[in-house]
Amino acid sequence: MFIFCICVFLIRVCWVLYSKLPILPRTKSCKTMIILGSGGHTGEMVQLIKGLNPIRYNPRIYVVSEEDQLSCTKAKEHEMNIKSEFPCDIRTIPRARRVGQSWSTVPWSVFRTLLASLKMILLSPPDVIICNGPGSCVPVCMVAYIPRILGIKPIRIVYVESLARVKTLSLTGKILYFFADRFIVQWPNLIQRYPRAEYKGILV
Amino acid sequence: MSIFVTVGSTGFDDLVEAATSASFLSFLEMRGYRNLVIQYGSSETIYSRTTFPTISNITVTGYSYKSSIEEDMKQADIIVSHAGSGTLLQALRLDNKKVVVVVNTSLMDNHQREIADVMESKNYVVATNPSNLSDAVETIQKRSIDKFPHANINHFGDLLDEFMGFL
Repeated sequence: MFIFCICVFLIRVCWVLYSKLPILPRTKSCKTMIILGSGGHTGEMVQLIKGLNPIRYNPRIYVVSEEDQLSCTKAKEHEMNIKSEFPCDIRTIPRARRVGQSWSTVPWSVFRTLLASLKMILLSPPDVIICNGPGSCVPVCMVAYIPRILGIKPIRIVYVESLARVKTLSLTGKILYFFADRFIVQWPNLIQRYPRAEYKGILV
Repeated sequence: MSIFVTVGSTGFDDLVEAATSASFLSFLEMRGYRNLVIQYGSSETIYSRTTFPTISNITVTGYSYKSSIEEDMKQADIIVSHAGSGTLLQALRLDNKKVVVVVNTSLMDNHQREIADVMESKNYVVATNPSNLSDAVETIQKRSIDKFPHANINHFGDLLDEFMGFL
């Protein structure tokens, strides 16, 4: 019985990973999770979300790493610029690895990050996650597969690789290449190496 | 004429050192520059140990961080930027600015080289490393540079609308 359950679960996981989500006409607004990361990633993300209709993509939840004040400021600035009437919803998750942190303590910090992502995703599952490369994308997107595997909510993942990546993907990109529903790169050379990737010109 | 040097959200010792060197300052003076502004980030020790010599015709000012460096970019004729894509894009999107990209060769995972090279191959910038800063500024003064295309911010919105079912 136990083995049977495991088999069913694994088949379900494979099915979810390989199947494409259908596009159904939407009438309600879309709960959007936007993952921000240090420096350049946040700058590019703000540029990307400028093109989103604030009524369609509402509410918007920003995810930042601990101690990343700059990204918080950028998120608030963006919300002010689009004259949002709602308070800016910013969630903080612990870093999986700080610069210079010793590798022996990494499993523990990764566990904390996963736990925080799990809590965040399960308590308020978004319709779509938009991410572009900071390390914290990985735990959040992996956890986002849980409601999908269980058939609760198909959270869609859209990944846009940084403009800085001309010939190779970032480590985050290499991992999320298998998880993202849409994987977008900003230089044409990359689609030859990564056929699932899409190129739509420079987006930022 | 004025020139603005920016290292971004971390530090870049080699660039700050090159930009505050006596040889670079005298080069700038010779070419008629009167203002040099340096955003030095965490490379403060390098910046503050500089004793600006007898070159009195150039005003040098510096700071670690500001919430927005846009104003300093706009004031400058030439922007010397590190190869971080955020700063680079910000500089390239301004009108009538010439941009020199300086690659941090001491970084481990040096993908900054990639973006600097591709931007140079499209004639949007001149790319260099810290030791050849004067030459790069000289080159960009003479060269006619192509305008970087404006971002079409609707591209991503359209793509997402279609994917999320807003038809």
